[in-house]
Amino acid sequence: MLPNESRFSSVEELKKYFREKVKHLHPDRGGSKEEFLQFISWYEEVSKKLRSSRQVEVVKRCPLTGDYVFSVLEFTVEEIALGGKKKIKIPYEEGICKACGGTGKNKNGRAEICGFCKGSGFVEVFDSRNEKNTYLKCPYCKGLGYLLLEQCQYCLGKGKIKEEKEVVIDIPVGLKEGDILFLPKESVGAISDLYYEVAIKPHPYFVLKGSDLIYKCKIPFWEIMLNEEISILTLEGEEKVPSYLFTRDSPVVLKERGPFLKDGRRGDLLIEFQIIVPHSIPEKAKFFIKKAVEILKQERGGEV
Amino acid sequence: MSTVDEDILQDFLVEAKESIEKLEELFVELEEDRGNIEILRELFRTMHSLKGAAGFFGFKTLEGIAHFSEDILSKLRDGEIEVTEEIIDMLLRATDHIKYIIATIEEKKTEPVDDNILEFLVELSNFTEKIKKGIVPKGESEKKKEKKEEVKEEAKAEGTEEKKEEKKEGEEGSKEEASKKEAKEEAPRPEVKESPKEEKKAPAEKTSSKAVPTPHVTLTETHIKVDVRLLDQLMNLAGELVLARNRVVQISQKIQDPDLLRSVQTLSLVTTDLQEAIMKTRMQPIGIVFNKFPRIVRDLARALNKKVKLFLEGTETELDRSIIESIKDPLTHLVRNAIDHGIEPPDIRVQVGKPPEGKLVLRAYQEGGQVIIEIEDDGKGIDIEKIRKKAIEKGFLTPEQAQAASEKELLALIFKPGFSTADKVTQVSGRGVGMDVVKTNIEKLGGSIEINTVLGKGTTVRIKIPLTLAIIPALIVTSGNYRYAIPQVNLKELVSIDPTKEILNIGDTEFYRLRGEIIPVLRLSKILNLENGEEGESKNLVILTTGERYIGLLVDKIFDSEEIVVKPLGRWFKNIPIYSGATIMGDGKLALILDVVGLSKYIGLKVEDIDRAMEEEKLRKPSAEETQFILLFNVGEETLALPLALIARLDKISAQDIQFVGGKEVIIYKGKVIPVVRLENYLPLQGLPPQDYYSVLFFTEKEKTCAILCSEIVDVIETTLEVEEGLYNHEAILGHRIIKDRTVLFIDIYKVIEMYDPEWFLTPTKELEVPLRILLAEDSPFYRNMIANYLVAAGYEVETAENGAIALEKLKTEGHFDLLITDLEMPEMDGFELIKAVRADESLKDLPILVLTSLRGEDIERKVFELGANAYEVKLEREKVLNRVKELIGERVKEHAA
Repeated sequence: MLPNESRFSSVEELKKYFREKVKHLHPDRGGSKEEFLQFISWYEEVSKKLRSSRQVEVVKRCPLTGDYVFSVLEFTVEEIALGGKKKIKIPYEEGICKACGGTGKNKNGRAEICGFCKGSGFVEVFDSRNEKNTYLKCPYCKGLGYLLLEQCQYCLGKGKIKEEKEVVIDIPVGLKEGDILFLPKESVGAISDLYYEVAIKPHPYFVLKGSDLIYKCKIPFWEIMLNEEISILTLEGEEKVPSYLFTRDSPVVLKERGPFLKDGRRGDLLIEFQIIVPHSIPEKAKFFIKKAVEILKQERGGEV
Repeated sequence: MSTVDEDILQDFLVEAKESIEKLEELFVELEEDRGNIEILRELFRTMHSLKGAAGFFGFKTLEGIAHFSEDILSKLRDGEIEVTEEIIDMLLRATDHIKYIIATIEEKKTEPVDDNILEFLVELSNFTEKIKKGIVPKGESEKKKEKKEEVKEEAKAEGTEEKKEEKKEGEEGSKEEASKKEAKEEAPRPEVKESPKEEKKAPAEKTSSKAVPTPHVTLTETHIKVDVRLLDQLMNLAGELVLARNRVVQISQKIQDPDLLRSVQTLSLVTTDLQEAIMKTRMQPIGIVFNKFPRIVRDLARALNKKVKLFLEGTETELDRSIIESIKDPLTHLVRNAIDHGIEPPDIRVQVGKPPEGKLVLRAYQEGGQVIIEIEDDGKGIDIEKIRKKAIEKGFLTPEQAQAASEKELLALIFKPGFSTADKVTQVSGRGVGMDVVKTNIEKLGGSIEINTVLGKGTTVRIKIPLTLAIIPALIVTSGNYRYAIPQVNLKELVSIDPTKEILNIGDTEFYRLRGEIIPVLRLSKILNLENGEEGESKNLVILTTGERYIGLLVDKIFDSEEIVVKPLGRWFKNIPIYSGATIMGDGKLALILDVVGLSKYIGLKVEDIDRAMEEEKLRKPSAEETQFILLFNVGEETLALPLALIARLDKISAQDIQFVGGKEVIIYKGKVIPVVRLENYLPLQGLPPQDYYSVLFFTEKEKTCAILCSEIVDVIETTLEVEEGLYNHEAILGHRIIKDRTVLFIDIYKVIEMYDPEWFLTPTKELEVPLRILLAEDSPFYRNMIANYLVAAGYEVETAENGAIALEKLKTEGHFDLLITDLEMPEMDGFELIKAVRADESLKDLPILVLTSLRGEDIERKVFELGANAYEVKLEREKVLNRVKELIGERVKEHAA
């Protein structure tokens, strides 16, 4: 039989299942044609659903109706800036607690003989119609003869336990700290609507500001003077930029290298740099620097 | 917008309609009083919230119009531009467009797709741009002025009411107006559809103005606002009606006129429906309170550096408005507590194997006539031992009391004023105020609160509150000819008893034993100081619950359960704790409503004390009073007895069911063939005469079952296991005793089964060269013989001792023992003393000790483990005991080997 679609958390997972299954079902391998066609149409339907349903809405505030789950979801700066996919765990349907079988009691805990049926598990009642005694299952201990006194450790006495499943969501571009992501329960197959407040994990170098991304760095002055290129971090990874860029004012703006925005454009990457000048310079070094300055002065006719 | 609930959309529409009405009124006011900043502010606010709501629903056009209008209004408000005719005009037209859009949404659930509206949007945006730049277009403004004047004239002519409805272009003549009125009376909706079409023609005529015409719309009202006091009054009146109805019902039953009965029945039904409907007007979903929590939880979690996932369940559960109001603070407190004390910081959670994000569930649901609210966290739970320590530290309990206190009692301490287990006081909680207030507040609402906790796993606080406070079902009881009402919520069950025989006295307090549970009993007549005819007259015990414990209330008579209307007591009676109110009965007489919590307090009944008394009673009870349920049954004329706990089932079978197959008697029972054991074959009995029906005792052990045949079952009695020995020297007879003037033989069922099938209990254990020696200290001969029998059968060498002193003597003098099995309650030296003495002895301190007792209870268990016992089992559970023995001695042998 075809499995329930909520079993799959992502298109990839579905594809994997499809590949496995199609090996047996394909008519070339001895499967029935009808069954195969049925399977194909099922696959297409589910994959369409999976692709379309993982859309996440961004809302300003929660509409807050019905049952829902509210939580904070942490994103890295890169995830916010580039979008992409993210695996999250969502509450799935409530299942019967396996440890206690739904009774909510600790099977191995302390027990007490049931006072109602005095341990026999049944009670004798006089059936006035047939004028004889009949036996009923004890209503107090449900026929067990004893009462379990301790709660089940796993479900805390509820008999049911919430299960979780993983789903992959598309990260909408242009998220801001404090935005709320809304995942309607139907779209992810959760037990209730989900709201996630967006939190951005602090990054050692990157900071999001407005529609731009700021990259903070420190560069020693000699690197600017001596190297042709300086390597910096961008969203795409390490990159070399010409060092003359750093001879002007901070920040250096790299157009359209920042976060992707809602309207399809891309923000800028601002490099806020600080030139490192050593605190104390040894006399010998000073001497050479002086020399260097003199040479520069000579070459430019007295000006640096 | 399929994802958004229909309900919110409805709410939005109601709100939007109100906003539009407000806008219209305010614009009129503004025209008359242009400089009034208050009106401008109000206008801005209204437009702003409209915009926000529209944006939330994704109604882009509506949002756009509201946005530009808001822009203009903000400029006006800040005094950057002056209020002019054309600005007001433009804004009014914007309002009309909004109205049109709302009407379409109401009908089609989507925004209208209409060029007119888009054109207007463009116009409005251009207008706003111009205003921003400070250019109020001259030419247009003149045109507008003219137009406006026309409007004004007409408006004056038509009076203010029309003006409100029709601040539109003058061209729209009376024909339009007439049709509109018609439509309003007949069917307002079709008009909505028509009007834009009609208006499309209009601009063609007046091409001179490039203004887009304004659609005409009337909105239907689906909701109105009503003063809450009016609802309260309605509720009171409904209450009075219920009382009057009750009275009429009673009278009609007296008269027994069929016509009257029928009409009264209808009246009764209608009254109930009316009351329910009115009650509904006061009902609000608990979501109103719950929806505040995402923010509170988020802020709190952030402040405390914790991660919390909040689950809200049952937000649509409805509760009386007044209850919703008063539940807010207690809930907030409990949620704060859960996050502050319950849920651990992420790193600690990971260490103990939980996900870093804590789980907090707020759940509401209806059960019976009550609403249950649960606050559940998966945090560290409440440490009972910590409470115990704190209780001693803060002087709530003496160390002895604290030792004896049960888990439930200790948890109840949390609700005591000034009690806090938090080590450090945070800004959030831990100051020892709060939980007592929470409890008081909830009890004020007629509710109750209980805590359920598992250390290390989490805590659940469960609050039960009545749906409404005004009309409640109650049980009517009498005491000394006066009637009293007991709220059904507090009622557990009703028991008919014989007070002279079934009530026990412990100290000054009376108790009733309900299915093994001991419940304190109050006599209503005594509490009320009523003259009560005869002492034994009250036979009805009403079992009440205060949420934490049960109380039995002895009353004279029990009447029906009835719906009563709660009337507050006058101030003279306010301070009597046993009454929570009064009600008027069907016959017009008054009945007082009993307050169950107050009742338990009034007579100084501190249940903790009673519980403790009970516990101590249990602990102190000498061995002779250790009681067991004993099954008495006849085989022929002779009566035999054995502990009921040893029998798996009892049943009756017909003589025909017994088959003789392969030299064995068997019966088929529940699809299984079960061998029949006749006791007379193994015991010196006269034998079982043939009968039509036999009673059968099923004995199950080691997954094997046999059926023991007997003539009849006599009784199950709760008694001690004291037996006399010596008269019968049969190994399967443990002793005899006189019960109800008959000599009863106590039989050893294990021995009988062993005689029947010697291989029944054999376990394939490796025979040890030296048999393991066990010392059994047990004062009751019944148990001593039985336990010794099955231990020997299992291959151990068993020595017995009648009390602790003898046992200790034997341990010291009779060589090496591998295990000590001891009872707790024994004369001379009890089990506790014995364990202490053994552990104190240098040569015996490694001897494993198994405590066997018929006493159950965590306190005892804890105590014996503290003293140094290795295991703890209950006497009658043979298989468990044997397993435990094996386990203990097995361990010991291993140790020796090592």
